[in-house]
Amino acid sequence: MNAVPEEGADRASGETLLLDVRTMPAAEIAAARDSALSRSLRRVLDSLDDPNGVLSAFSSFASS
Amino acid sequence: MSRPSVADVHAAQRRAAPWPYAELDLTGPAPHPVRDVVLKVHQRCNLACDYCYVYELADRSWRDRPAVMPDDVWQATLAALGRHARRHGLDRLRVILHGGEPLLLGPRRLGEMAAQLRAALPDGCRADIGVQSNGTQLSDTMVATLARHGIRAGISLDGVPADHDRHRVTHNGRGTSAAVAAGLRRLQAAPSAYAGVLCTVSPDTDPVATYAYLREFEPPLIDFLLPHANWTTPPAQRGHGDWLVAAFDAWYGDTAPPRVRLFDDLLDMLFGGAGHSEQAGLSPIALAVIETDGAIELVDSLKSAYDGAARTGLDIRTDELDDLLTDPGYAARQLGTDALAPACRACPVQQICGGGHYVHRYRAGAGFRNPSVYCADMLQLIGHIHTRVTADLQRPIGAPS
Repeated sequence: MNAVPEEGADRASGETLLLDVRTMPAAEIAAARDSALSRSLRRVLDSLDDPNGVLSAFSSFASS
Repeated sequence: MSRPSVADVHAAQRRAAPWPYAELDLTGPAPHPVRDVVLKVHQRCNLACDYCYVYELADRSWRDRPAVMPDDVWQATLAALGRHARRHGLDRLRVILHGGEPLLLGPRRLGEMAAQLRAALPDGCRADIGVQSNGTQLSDTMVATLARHGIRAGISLDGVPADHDRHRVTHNGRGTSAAVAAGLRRLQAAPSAYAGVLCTVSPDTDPVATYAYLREFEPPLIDFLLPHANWTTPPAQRGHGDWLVAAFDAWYGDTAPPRVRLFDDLLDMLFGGAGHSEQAGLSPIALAVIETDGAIELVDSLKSAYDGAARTGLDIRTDELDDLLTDPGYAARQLGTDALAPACRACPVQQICGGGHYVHRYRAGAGFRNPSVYCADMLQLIGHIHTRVTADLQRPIGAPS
């Protein structure tokens, strides 16, 4: 179980956690099957064409 | 009861939350216009959930408000939304009927409201209308009305019946899981009226059983919400990170997983995409709440921080939604990394976590420029997802995980 952290304490260290798919067949992964991973890649690729996609949704309503 | 002026409200806000109210420089770019509107059409609720931020936490403003939005407030709201959409050329406005319990208005009134909302917006501006409900009022007639009027219902369900019934009870203390399950079955048969399910995380429940139970109702979307807490009022329990990790693994290993907003968002952001909820990420929040008495307020989960935290001093009958754009509390939600505490800005996961939910950053006497009180839980979850996905990406396509 986690303790409630002290403010600013216990930070992760190391480089950024962004996933790097430059050397991977991202399009093939996206098309592979209906897994959470492939779906996510498809969504990110689709979002490149979505000018309104930057606005966040109210978390107290269940809608994407 | 007379309402305090904007100046009085800001003075009180500066004392309770120096950041943003006393310290934020508002000379930067103009904030985004309002895109999400929460209409508190029915203030009262037929349940007495123990964690409710409207009735059970710091704020007491509901006591002074009408139970139902009166017609003059409703008509002023329609006119204001139309003007705002025209002024900013909005092509879409999300309107969420909220409460209390909005379905207590009854199907006929809800249908009228949806029709009037759409008629009030200019041509070319679509209204996406939703209702967030406790799920106990979903009769056949109600569900048919929601479907007919293009209203999508989000339902609160806190897991398996025994867990749900510990928190989500009537005023007599009776559990509501059976009524909610019956309502969800009706929504399953009317997919155009079904938005999804919200579940508040409780570390003393079984995350895998919770996910499996929610999934039985085939919701288009599930979201797991961290209970509202902050540095002054810390979470009542610990272990939210462990719970979310186990739920993520159950979902990620599912062969045809439904959307889970928090997990989907974190995955998307790990790939460099944007988040779409308040719980994670740096996307701007452009949301206004209209209370039953006409008050224009900020997101009402702020009420979990301190009494009056959502107030702006504005009134939909006398002010414009544009007046909200200069409120420090509104502008503070659209600053990206500039809204983050120094510790967050030095954190390698800042672009993904985004400091967590703004409401969870509050500390009395300082305000909202702190890491989330769930910082360790978010780090644990994000690190776990990164590790799991990295391993999958290194596996040949089609190989079992």
